[in-house]
Amino acid sequence: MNWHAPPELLAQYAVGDLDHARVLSIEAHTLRCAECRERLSELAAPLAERTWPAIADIIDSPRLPWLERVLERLGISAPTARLVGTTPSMRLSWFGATVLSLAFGVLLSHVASGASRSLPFLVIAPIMPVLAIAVAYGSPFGNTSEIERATPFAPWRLLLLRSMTVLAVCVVSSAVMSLGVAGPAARAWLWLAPALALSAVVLALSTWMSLGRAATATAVAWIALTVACSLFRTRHAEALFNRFVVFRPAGQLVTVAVALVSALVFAARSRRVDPYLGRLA
Amino acid sequence: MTPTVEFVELRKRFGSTVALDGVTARLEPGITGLLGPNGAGKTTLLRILATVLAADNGELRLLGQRPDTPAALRAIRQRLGYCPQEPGFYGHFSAFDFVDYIAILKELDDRGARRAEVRRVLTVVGLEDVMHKKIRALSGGMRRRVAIAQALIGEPDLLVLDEPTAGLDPELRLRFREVLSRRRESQVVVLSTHQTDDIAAMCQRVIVIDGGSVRFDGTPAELAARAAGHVWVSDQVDQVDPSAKLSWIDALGQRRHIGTPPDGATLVSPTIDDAYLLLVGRNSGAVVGA
Repeated sequence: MNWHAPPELLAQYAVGDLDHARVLSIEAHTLRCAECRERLSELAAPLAERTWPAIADIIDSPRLPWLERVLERLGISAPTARLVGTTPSMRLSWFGATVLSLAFGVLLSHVASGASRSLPFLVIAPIMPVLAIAVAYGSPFGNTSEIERATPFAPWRLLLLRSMTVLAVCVVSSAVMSLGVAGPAARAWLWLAPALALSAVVLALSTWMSLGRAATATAVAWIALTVACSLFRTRHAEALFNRFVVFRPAGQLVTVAVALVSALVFAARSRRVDPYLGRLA
Repeated sequence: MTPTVEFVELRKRFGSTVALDGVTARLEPGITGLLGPNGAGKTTLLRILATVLAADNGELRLLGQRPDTPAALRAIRQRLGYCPQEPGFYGHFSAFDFVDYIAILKELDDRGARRAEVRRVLTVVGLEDVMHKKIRALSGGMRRRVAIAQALIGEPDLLVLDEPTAGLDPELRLRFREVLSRRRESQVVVLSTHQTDDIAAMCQRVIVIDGGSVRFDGTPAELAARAAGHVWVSDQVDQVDPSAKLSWIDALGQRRHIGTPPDGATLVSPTIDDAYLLLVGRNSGAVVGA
């Protein structure tokens, strides 16, 4: 055959960029011309290489877990959504337990009477994010698995990402539940500063010890503080509610300061979240 | 530059237990097998090479870099694949989702490319038909293969595998060997195993570790040759030769001895097994399998 299809026409054909009439003539020609067929297959090869994985990806992709779908819809990037979606304490069962615990606090505020009826809720709500952060890695020791640790992704980033997510979930659910707490409406928000402070303390402590230990120490300290408050009477604080210094204006300020200092400590020591780097540092 | 792994006088202790007592080697591209009894220090060494555990003393260079700054550590981990003995899965994830998750941690950010790679490594280990099943519904051997698959993501320059063939049936072990033999020429692979036939079938080099120290370092053939002149058989099945370090009845119904043979003994050519047992077998006159 003397005549061959011009290369630019073949290239346009390969990417599907030709009008119908020329498509027909190129096809009629290449059917009879081995040389042009050869050139066409070379032109089309890279395209086919890209097309097949794309098709496989569409027909063979698992449905995303509901959590990742929600996160992606909220505008969070797909990789980040997956990293967050692996957080064990983001699962429905955990969320259910959190809501139930908070509901218990709400219930108590309705059963009890007097000015201190919202106290149980205010004490329970800050512990929720502490527990959720403790199991952010799914291991009872609160550590990443060795597979995760051998990857280039910085462990402190993973920890922060997951902690912030569970904290956000806890804060939102506590905020919603606090609307149901009986008693003065202004008091229903007093759990927020302690919740942030306790979470930050857990993160800061986790640069010294395992996440599980950090969370246990923080939760125990919080419970000890509330017990001490309830027992300790002063002249100025006869009423039960007033004995809880953390819920008074000065206490709230101190709590916010604790949150900020802990956040700074975590930032300064974040590389120690990686046990390997922590040893070297 | 060819990737290498070098370590000099690595030491590691856990409390009063010495796990590594000054281990030195330089690994070139190819497959190196670590052989040794339980508690010999194989896993400790592999964890150090995988940057999940820091040694107490000693020099370490992974792929030409010292893992002692965040930047160097990150650069090493970008080229590292690690399959630990106890992987620790998220059971509610499917095999696909788990490997995809690890691929994200390995910074494969493009979704299409990442999923293609995840599919590739799961196909390599033969899990393509069950990759969308939850991990907790998979058998032990399948989970093992999920762990191997994630280590293969991105064809790492350094592949650290802790007992990759444990729990795999003979067919799967064969498949695993084939996977490794098709690796890139420039890849450094270190694996531990209890199966001496794994060593013979895959490894260009074998390091025998016992009590935290290197007892042998060379080719599998050199290891077997170590036992030349030290292995003999006799037809008197019930008679244990007193000069034998270890003795057992082999598949042919003969008594096989290793140790210092008496005069006139019927010497046979040694296997890697013989040499390994000669090296690390406790010299207690123990009779194995009698």
